[in-house]
Formats: sequence, structure tokens, C-alpha cells
Amino acid sequence: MSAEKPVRLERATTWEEWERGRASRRAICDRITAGRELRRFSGDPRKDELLRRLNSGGRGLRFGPIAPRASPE
Amino acid sequence: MSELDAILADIRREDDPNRKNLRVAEVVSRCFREIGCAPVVVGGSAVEFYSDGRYVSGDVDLCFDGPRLPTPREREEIMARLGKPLGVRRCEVAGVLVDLLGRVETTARTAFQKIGELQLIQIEDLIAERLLVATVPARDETRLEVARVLIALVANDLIAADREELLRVADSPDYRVGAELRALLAEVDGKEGAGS
Repeated sequence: MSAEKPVRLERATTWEEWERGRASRRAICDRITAGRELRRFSGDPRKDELLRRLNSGGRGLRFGPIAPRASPE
Repeated sequence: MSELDAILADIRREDDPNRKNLRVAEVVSRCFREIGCAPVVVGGSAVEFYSDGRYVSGDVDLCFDGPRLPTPREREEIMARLGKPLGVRRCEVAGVLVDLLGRVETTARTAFQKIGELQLIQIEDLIAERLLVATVPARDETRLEVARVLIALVANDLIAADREELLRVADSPDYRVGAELRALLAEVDGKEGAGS
């Protein structure tokens, strides 16, 4: 287990802090879901169809490993 | 290439879906802030921001806070600059579906969550909303898991939250999910105690 201190997401934060806390937050999510993905719910079939089309490049709505940091600027 | 085009091109190259959606929310918000509006990310995209791991909404839902709402013309002109309109209030921006909704509804009295200039619905309101949709019209365990994740993040102090306000919002007539919230808080606190 990492000895790094978990990063708390403050009410007003920066992109850098958000990035730094990702691993901590993901670890909690994984503990709760046992690593399963949470399904999205739009309740709107037209919207779901649009999303399927937009995300049809192979990645879909699935999570992969955290990608290397890209500058938000 | 304009600065905006360069930002959009950079976002298109982003291969982390979570970060990509947030960066789209950021650039759309920025354009609306320029005309005096105050956009707020709500719904599943806000869950995505907080949970960061196991939930990707695949889209961005934006509401507006304060007295200034964009006119339909402003809305359409801004979205046309940013991407491809897909209908009234709906647009594709850098491969992400963006829905522009109306005035933000929130029961929480805490400040909006901010990441840089990007505003998101408060965690206190989001948890109550997710509990509501997980229990009305009937209890739905899969939906409840989304609320459980958000509550666990608060219980583990990974998200700044006002617990008293969270309980007040959940108990309020707007939501009436206080019992469900307390049960999940006890469950999550119990697990943490047993696991540590």
C-alpha cells in the first residue's frame, strides 16, 4: 500500500490538486465497488443512443488506467 | 488557429475520458462566463468529477446559477463556436455530448465546488439527489452504489463536505432521504472501522 497521504479535495481546488487526489479517490471507489464499473443512467433513450455513437471508437464509456497528465491549459 | 481551436484540438487528443469531460465542461463554462453567466456542472458529470474512478457519465450537463441565463441566441451562437449543434440545448464539443439545462436547483447552502474556475454542484446536494433517484420509485441497488461511493469518499475525508448540511439537505422536504443517508453512513463507517 502506498504510504502517500491521501489528498483531500477542498471546496475550491486547482486542477493540479484534483489530479493529485485521483488515486486516493479511485482507491475508495474500488473498495466500495470491488472494482466494478458503475453504470450511467440517463433515462433518455435518444441521449443514450447519441452517447453510444460518440463513444463508439472502441473505448465506450469504460474506464481504463489513468492516462498521463495532460495540461488543462 | 485561434486559442479556442487550440484548446479544443488538445481536448480531442485527451485519452482519459474523465479528464476529457471535465475539460470540455471547463471550456464551455469559460465561454458562458464571458457573457456574464455562471455555469454549474450537475448530474452524472458531477458524480464523475467527485468519484473519479468508477463512473463516467459520457456527457456534460450544465445548469446556470444566478440571475443571468443565456438567451437562446447566445446559447446557440456559443455552442456553434465550440462544436456541432445536435438539437436545441444539445451539442457535441470535442467528441463529448453537452446538454445546456436551465437554472440550477440546489437545496444545499454550501458553496459550489470549484476546480479552477469550473463550478460543480455541491457534494451535499449531489448525494441527496443520487439517494433520491436510487430509492424513488423503488429501491435500486445499482443506483444506490453510486450514492454509496460518494458517501464513502466523504466518510474517508477525501472530499470536503459539511456533514450537518448533508444531513439537513437529505432530511429536507425536497429530498426526504435522511434515513437512507444515515444507513449508508453507518454502513460505510462500519466497514472502515472493521477494515482498519
